[in-house]
Amino acid sequence: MEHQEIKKLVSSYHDGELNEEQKGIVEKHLEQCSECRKEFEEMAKFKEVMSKMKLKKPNKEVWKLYSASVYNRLERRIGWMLFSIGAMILLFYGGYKAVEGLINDPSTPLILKLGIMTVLGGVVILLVSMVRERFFVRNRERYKEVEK
Amino acid sequence: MAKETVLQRDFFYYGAEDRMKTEKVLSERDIIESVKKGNKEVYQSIVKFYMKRAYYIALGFVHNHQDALDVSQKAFIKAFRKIKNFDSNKSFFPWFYRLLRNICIDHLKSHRYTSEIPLEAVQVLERANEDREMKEAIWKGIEKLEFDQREVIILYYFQQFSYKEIAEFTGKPLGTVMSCLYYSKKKLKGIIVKYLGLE
Repeated sequence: MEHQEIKKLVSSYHDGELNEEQKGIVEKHLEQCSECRKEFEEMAKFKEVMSKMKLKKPNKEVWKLYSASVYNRLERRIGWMLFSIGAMILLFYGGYKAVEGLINDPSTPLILKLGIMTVLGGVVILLVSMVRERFFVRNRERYKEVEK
Repeated sequence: MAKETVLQRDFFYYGAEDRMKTEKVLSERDIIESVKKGNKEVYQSIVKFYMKRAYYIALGFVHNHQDALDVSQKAFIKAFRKIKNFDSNKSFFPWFYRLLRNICIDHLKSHRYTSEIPLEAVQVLERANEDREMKEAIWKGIEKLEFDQREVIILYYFQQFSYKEIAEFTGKPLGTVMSCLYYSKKKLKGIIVKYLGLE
């Protein structure tokens, strides 16, 4: 087995993931290789340090609200979709009424009519999207659960 | 010592907080079948069981409490929407993990250029004031790892999954997982060696 492959086994030895054959390879190799013995000791220390790296638990309130939040988001999704579609239709209709004269004027070039309708459609979609995003961002206070 | 599998969970109480009131016990498979019919209430059992695991994995990737809550919840929502494509004879979590992982990747890509500052180690680690500098350095080191390397570190050291489980979740061969862990450990080990004066 190549030395590089054995080094990988040495690295995994302390993880308890090697089979008996692999452990035997490592143990035999360590008798002869000072570089890998050093690696072996360093990996033991590494495992010890990493075992102390535990993620902080958020307060219990977070978990109480978590599943409810998922449920609400599932429930509200359809509501938001209908709201968005409805708002777009109404805003587009309102915008159309504002430029109706220009659109219905036969002397207005077709390209201009298309441009106006496209801009109108784009503005409506952006507006509804921004309002929705603003609503969600306003309701989320960053780092609320972080304990200092 | 071989790691015990943490994947096997065969039974849920339907409505965990009403455990004393209800005697109905459902298998994960039964729950999934019910969810496939659109039952959001029953899906809560799945959410409650996996929410902490999903959150901590997301936290390891996005390094931010609020975003970890958000992306993990998004993963549950996406899982609910895609549950019709899921084979209920298989274990839920490996499939869910892949959804969560992809959402985290998308999140990291879309937030790469924002001014959001990830939380420091002291804000996300327990007892962070013990060996604070070293933990801070390791935490930052994890952040700088390539995504695949960060992934195996999070799954192995923070979630205590075995190599085999990590291979199952990520869809990678066991040898690839071992290699990936080797290279990520090598990078992080350098930080530890420096702080402990083992050079």
